[in-house]
Amino acid sequence: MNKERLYESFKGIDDDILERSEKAALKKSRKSWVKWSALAACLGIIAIGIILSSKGIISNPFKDDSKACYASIVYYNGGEYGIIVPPPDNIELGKELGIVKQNLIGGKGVFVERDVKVISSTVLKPGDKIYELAGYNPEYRICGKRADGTLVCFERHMARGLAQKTPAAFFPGIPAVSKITICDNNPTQLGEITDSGQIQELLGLFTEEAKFIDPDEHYFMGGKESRRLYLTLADNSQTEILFYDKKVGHWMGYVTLPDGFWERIENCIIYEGGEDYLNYGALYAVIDYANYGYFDGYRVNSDYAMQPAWAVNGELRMGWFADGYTILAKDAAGFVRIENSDIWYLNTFGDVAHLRFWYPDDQATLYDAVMAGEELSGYVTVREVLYEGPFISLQVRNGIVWTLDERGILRRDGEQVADGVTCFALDPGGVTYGRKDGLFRLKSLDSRLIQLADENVTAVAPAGIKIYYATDSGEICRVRVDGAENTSVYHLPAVVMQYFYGDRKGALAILGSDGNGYLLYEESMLYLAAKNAAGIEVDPYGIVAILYQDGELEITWSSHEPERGGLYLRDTWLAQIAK
Amino acid sequence: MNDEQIIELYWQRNEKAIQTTKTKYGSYCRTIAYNILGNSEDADECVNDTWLQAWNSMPPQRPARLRMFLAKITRNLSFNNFKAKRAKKRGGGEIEIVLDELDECLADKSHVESAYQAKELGQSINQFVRTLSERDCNIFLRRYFFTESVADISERFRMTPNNVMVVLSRTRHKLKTHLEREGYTV
Repeated sequence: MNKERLYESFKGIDDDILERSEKAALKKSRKSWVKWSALAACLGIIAIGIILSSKGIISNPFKDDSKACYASIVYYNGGEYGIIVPPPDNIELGKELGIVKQNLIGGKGVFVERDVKVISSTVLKPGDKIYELAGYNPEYRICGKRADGTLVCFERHMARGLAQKTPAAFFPGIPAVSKITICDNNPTQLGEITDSGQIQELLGLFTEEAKFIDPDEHYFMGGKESRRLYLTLADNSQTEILFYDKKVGHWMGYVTLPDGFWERIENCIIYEGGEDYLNYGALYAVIDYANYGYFDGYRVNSDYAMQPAWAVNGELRMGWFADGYTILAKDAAGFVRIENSDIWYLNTFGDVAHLRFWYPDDQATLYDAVMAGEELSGYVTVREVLYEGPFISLQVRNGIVWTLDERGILRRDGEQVADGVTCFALDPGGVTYGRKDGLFRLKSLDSRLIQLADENVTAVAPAGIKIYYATDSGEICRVRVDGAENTSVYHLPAVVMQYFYGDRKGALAILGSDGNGYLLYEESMLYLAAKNAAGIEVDPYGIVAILYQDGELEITWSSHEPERGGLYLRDTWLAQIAK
Repeated sequence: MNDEQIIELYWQRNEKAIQTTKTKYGSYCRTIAYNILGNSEDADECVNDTWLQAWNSMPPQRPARLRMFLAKITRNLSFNNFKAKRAKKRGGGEIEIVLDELDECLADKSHVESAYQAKELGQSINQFVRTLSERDCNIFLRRYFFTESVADISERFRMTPNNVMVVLSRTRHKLKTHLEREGYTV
C-alpha cells in the first residue's frame, strides 16, 4: 500500500460521517463568517452559549441525538427558534400554541423543504405540541412537548419583521436577570456584573433604546470590539446579547446598540486578555500562532518554515522530533520560546540567548533539507546573548523578555520588576508572580499591581479571568484576577503548574513535589502521567512533553475521555487516582 | 428542488437533472476539485466529468445523500487527474502535502494489495474514523477526504492552525496504529 492508495481508500467512508463534518462547524455558534440569513435559510443556526469552566458547562445538546448533525430548530409563527441550553429550571407551560406538522429531517437524514404555512422542526415530530413558556413572551420563548412528555425549550433568534421595535417588547423582566457575564468572542470571560442596580440600569438602557434592524445587511466578523453578554435568568437559563462592534449587536435579531452601551460594559471588564494559547514551552516550543498573525499579521514567507524546537544535551534542535532535526545551537539548556522567526533560550551558562532562523523556502523544502542532513546553521542570521545570567527561568511574549534569577529578581527586558519572586507566569493581560508573602499580579494595561493572595506561593498558572496557584502547604487554589473568589480546589504539593483548556472544561498539568507529573481535570479528576519527572508541558488539548529526571525528553500526547476509560496516554487508558 | 427530486430526474433520464445539479452543487464540487488540483482549468474539467459520471451512475444508483455522492465522484476524478498530471510534472494543490502527511501512517513495509484488500481497506478506514471523537473525526475528514488546507480548517472550526495540526498529527498516529493492528502494514 502506498500513500496514494491510502488516500483513495477514504472513499469508503460513510456519507453520514462526511456530511457531519460539513455541518459541524456551522452549527456551533453565532460567530460565523457567513452571512447570517443565508446560512439560517439553509441549515438553521443554533444558539449555544459556550462558556468556560469558571461559569459552568453547557452540555452538548446533541449528545443523545443520533441525528445530531442538524441544528435543533422550531419554526413557529414566522419566527425561527433555537434550542435553549441549558434548559430553564422548573419549566411551567402556558397555553397551547399549536401542533407540529412537519419534521424537517427526511427519512434518510436528508433535510427536506420546509412548508412555511405550518409549525415545523428538526427535533420535534408531527403531533408534538408547542406551548407558551410561563414568564416569557411567546414571540421570544416557547416550549415543545414530545409525545413521551419531555419538554424542550426554544428561544427566537431571527427577528424578521420586528424592525424599528425595541427589545423591551419581548425581553423577560429585568429583575429576573441575576448576573451578566461578559466575554470576548472566544468566549473568554472578561468580567461579571451581579449588582442588581447596575443590571437594572444597563438592561433598561438596552431594552428601551436598542432597535431591531433589517437582518440582511450585517456580517459578523468577530473583531476586537465584539463581546458576548450571557444573562443568567431567574430560572437559571441564559440568554445572550452579542456585540458585533460598538454599534451593532444581536439579541433575538440584529439590533443597533444604544450610544455608550458598549463603553459601559467595558468599564466592568476586569480581565483584558484573551485566553489564547500561550506556549511558553520550557521543554518543547512550537510556533505561537496566536501571535503569528496568521490572517492579518506578520509572515516571513508565503508559507511558514519554522518548526518546533527543543534542547537536549546542550543542542538546540529544530525539526520533527520523531523523524529528524537540525541543530541550530550547541549551548542550549532549555526554556525555548519561538515567535515568528526568533528563538530565545537559556544557554548552558544561564544567559538569555537569541537567534533568528530565516529560511527562504517553504516547509516542505525545509523538511527535505532536514531529512537530508543538510547543514542549516547558515540560515541563522542573528546570534547573540541578550542578557547575562545566570537565570533560572525565561519567558518571552511579543518580543519582551522576562527573566527570574536565583535571588528572586524578576526582570522585564533587563529591568527589575519585583524581588523575592519564587515563580512567575505571563498571560495576555499581564504577569503573575508568587513570593513567600503572597500572589501578585501586575497588569500590562495600567501597570497596576494587586495582591491576590497572602500564602507562600510555589507555582502559578494563569487561566484567563482566574489564576491557579500552589502553596507550600500543598494546596492548589484558584483566585479571580481581581482577588475575588479565592478558594482551595485540591490538595497536591506542586512545584510547576500549567493550565490548559482540556476541551474548554479546564485542566492543570502539575509537576508534584514528589517528582511525578499529573493532570488534574475540572479540579477533581487526577491522573498520574509520569513518574520521576523533572518537567511536564501541555498544549490546549493535553500533554506535549515530559522531561525525566535522567534527562530524557519524551514528546507525546494525551486525550481525556472519561466516558471511554479516562486518560489516553502512550496507547493505554489511565484511570483516575482516588482523591 | 430537493435532492430526492433531483435524483428522480436522473432516473427519468430528464436532462434537467444535470443543470439542476450544476446549479446546486457546482461550486461545492469545484471547491473539492480545486483543493486537489490547484488550478481552475483542471478543476473545471473534473467538475464537468462529475456531471457525466453522475448521469451514468443514476440509475442504477439512488444515493441517500446526493451531495456526498457527488463529492466522492469529484474527489476520485480529481485525484486521478492529479496522478496523471503529476507524471507530467504539472500543477497540484494541497494534495501533495496531504499525501506526504498520510505517508506517516504507513510503516516501511506494507502488504501488497489486491483489489479485494483495497475494498477492505476502505471499510477499515471507515471503522477507524468512527472510533474518533466527533471533533477529531471532522477535522481529519476535512483534511484527508476533502483535502482542505489547514488554514481553511482552522477558520472553519475557529481553531488556530497549530491546534489543527496537532489534532491531525495525533489522529494520523492513531491511524498508523490501527493499520498495523489490522495487518495492512507491519
